[in-house]
Amino acid sequence: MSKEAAEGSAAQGGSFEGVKSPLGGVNPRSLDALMAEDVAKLSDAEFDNVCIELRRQRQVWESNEQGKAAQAKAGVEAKTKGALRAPKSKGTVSINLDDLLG
Amino acid sequence: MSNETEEQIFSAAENSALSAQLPGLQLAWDSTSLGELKLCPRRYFYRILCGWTPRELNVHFKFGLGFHGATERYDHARANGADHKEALRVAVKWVMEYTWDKKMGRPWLSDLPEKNRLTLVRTVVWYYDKYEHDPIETMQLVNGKPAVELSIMLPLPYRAETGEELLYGGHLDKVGRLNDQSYIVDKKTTKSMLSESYFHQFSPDNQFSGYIFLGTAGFGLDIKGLIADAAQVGVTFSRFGRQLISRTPDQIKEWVRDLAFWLRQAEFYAKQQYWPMNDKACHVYGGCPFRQICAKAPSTRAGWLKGAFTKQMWNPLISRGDI
Repeated sequence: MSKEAAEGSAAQGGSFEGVKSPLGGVNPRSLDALMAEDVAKLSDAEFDNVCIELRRQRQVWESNEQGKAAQAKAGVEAKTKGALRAPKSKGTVSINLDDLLG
Repeated sequence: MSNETEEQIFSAAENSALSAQLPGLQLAWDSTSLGELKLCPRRYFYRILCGWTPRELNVHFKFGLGFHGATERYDHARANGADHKEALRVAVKWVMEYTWDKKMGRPWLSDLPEKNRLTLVRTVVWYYDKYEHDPIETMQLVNGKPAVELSIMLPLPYRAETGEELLYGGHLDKVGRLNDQSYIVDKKTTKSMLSESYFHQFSPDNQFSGYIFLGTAGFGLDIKGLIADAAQVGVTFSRFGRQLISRTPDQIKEWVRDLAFWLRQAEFYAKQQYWPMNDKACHVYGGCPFRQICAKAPSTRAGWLKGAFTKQMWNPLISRGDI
């Protein structure tokens, strides 16, 4: 597999570059395939690739988390600027039926 | 219960943690056995004195042991000169072997999507991705080994009425140093959010108070407290958090005093050869594994136990972590 092809394949979901299956296969095995495998049949390079793939998943997860946190922060800032803030409670609840019924 | 009791209880010859003079009197204690006693005397009787264990190892227990085992192997590899990458490979290899069912020739089958082979390997890799340059430095023993998975057993300042010595011990995950101060580090895995309320459960807490007692009295170290090193394990992620859990010397003194009362209580049960049910504790911690047994008529329980459980001795005197 060429370097470009391997990178393309990894980007599409979890193959590894440059690792041959000890079972004789030509293609490197996916994380799912390695997880279903007996440890005795895995090479050191494959253990390292398990770590690399999981680390990559962590980076993706972390950047998603950061995105969510940024969105939440933006929401809070918008509220404190007054755009979405509810009127201050006076301790009683008053419902304007005209507003509700249009 | 007495005929049934004699049949089921381990003898002192089988389990060295038990008294040779009074059947069912435990002399060597740890947080697990003390915790079972505090929760329900009947549960303690079944689990600790008789050794009845569910046939299938509890998923949470297996997962927790796997995480501990992997980190222990990582620490040993680092202490032996391996770099981060090599040590991580050792840990991952061990986890994958641990989660391989040799008999069935397949990976460990777990019924929990959060806790299985993949999530355990992921938790180990993500943990070391986060803590590759850990601010908590693992202390070294005089023999050069890292201070991880330390088994310790201390004589208590009181004896059983039989005159036999009472002991308390445990297995500490790690003793580490942070900002020139010593801490016991205890690893936890959970499905729960690592919020303030998660960490609040450890104060007061039987296990952590006991560990701080063991760390201060056993190692002669000025232990500043315990660091709960927690991993939240989800289906698609593992998240980590740490919090300092402290106890004042007075609190530890109180815990040791309470311990004396609990052990006296255990002695009372042994003398009576009767361990009553605490039927208000059947549903705590996700439900007692013996609830199904206690729900049966007393005369039929032994048969039900033999069917659904297997015998596995619990002996706090057997040390762990000797790798």
